[in-house]
Amino acid sequence: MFTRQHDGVVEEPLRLEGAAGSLHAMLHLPRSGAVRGGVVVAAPDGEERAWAERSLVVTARGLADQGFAVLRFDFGGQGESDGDYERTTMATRIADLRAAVEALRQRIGRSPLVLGVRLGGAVTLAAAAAGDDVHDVVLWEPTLAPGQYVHQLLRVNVSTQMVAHGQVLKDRDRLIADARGGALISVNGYNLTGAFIDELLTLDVLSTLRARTGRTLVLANGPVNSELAGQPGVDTERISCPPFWTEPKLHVASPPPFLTRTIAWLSGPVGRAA
Amino acid sequence: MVTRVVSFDCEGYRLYGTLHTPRQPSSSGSGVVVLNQGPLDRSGAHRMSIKLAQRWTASGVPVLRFDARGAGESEGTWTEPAEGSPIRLLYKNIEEGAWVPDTHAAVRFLQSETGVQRVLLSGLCGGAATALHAGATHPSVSGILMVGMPVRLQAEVRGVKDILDSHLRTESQRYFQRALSLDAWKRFFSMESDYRTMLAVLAKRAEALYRRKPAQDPSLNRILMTHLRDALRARKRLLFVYPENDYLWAEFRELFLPLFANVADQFTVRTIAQANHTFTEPEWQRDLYEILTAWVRAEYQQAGAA
Repeated sequence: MFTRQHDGVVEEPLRLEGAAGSLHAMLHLPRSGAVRGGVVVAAPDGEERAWAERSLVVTARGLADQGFAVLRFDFGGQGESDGDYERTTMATRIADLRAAVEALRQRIGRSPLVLGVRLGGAVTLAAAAAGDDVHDVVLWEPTLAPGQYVHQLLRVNVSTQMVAHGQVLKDRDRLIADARGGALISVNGYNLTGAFIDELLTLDVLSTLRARTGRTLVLANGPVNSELAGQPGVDTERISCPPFWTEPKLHVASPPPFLTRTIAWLSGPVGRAA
Repeated sequence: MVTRVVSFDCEGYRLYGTLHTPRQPSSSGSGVVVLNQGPLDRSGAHRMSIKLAQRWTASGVPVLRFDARGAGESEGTWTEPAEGSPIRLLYKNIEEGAWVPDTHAAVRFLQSETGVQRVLLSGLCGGAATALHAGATHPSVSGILMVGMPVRLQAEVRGVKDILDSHLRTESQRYFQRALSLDAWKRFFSMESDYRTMLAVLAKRAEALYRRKPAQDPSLNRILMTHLRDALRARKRLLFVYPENDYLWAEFRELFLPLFANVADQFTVRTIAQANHTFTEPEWQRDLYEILTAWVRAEYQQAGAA
């Protein structure tokens, strides 16, 4: 029923000091000891993190099999890390990511790239804009429009109201107003605060991406934002990939199809520079 | 409380887990193992497994959460075609006990690390099925907490024909009430209605009027039923908790419970009104945590007294 894969990988659980407490991390290393570069994985958020977790574990193992040192970690208040989700913000996520980047840099002696997935992609770009420790990045289905993302999250709450009460008691505008007034808004059990919602509503990911100086690879299942195509330093590609960050209809044990293109890109000039 | 990431072996695969140990263990000599909710990692949906572990450890009880093979951070890859397979087949494997060896390895590890003699198994959804399979006759398992356990093999539940009559009755009543609205007729004549589902519902309702129902639903998980009988014979303490706004509760209540009516006094069933499958709202979580924590405390008081 089970098979063994990635025997060429060794793993080491770590604890990192994050913005609001201790973070769980896992270091995946090639067994040979020869490291050709480092990759930090910035995971999706909330419910999307939960569904993506296994795909990102096998992604990390696939990268380590190819000679990369990979650090996966859980943002504060998520997965195995300390803290409460409702106390976290974009600022704490950026600080957590930078702590992970620094931990891997110290471990391998050079700056790692960051692989940002979904909202983790938006956090990656924000971290890159906030300091020079995050330079070259790979983005998998990044959340380029956080405002739409917020509304999709709130729609989940509205659907839950329909199922539980047979009617919508609070629409999205009312939920946002309540959150700004201090209420917690549950989305699949993850409590959104007004501060986090407002950070997402005002986050301009595309401008951050346009202003970047580092190299960027954007992989998406759907059409890639047309503004990105042709922008210097940004490689974009549309690759058919199941949305592994949502509850699946199909179980796929192998890494997402994005990985093959990512390894090829990392094996080019960007990877060699890192 | 001390929390640390641990690993142990299961049939040659390394499994990762998180062990919560109290600074002052109770004298009951008991601990809890928390199982994966289907394919989700050991933290559980919105970290329910962590929140439960923290509550139980605060009561002096060590808790091990772990990832079974093919889940979370643990080794092992499910054998399946490269293009994947329907998720229902994965659920079927779990529902039929694929993770029993993993759970037994976790029980051994918890006992060796903490010295506890008696172990409770706790799981939600597929984790509940795993708990029953693994704990039914295990000599160290004294009790099993099962939350939202599926009693039918989800791979065998395919369409309208498998929907419970009571559920279909409620839904079709609701549907035909809506059908009186002008919008519904507009959709009907503008070809926007789901005619196939409507026909299937009508056919199923008509069939229900004339058909003699089988004594036992053919999609029921027979291995699970056998293990429940085993657990009852072995006098395990058994708790079932269901969110009432979950179709799995209707299946348990209407298809499974009647088969065990003569031994219903030997296990406990609790429900949480309005709650959905993953207890997404804070008040539902609060009720769930209270029920489970009270049950765990009672178990350990009993163990301590013994």
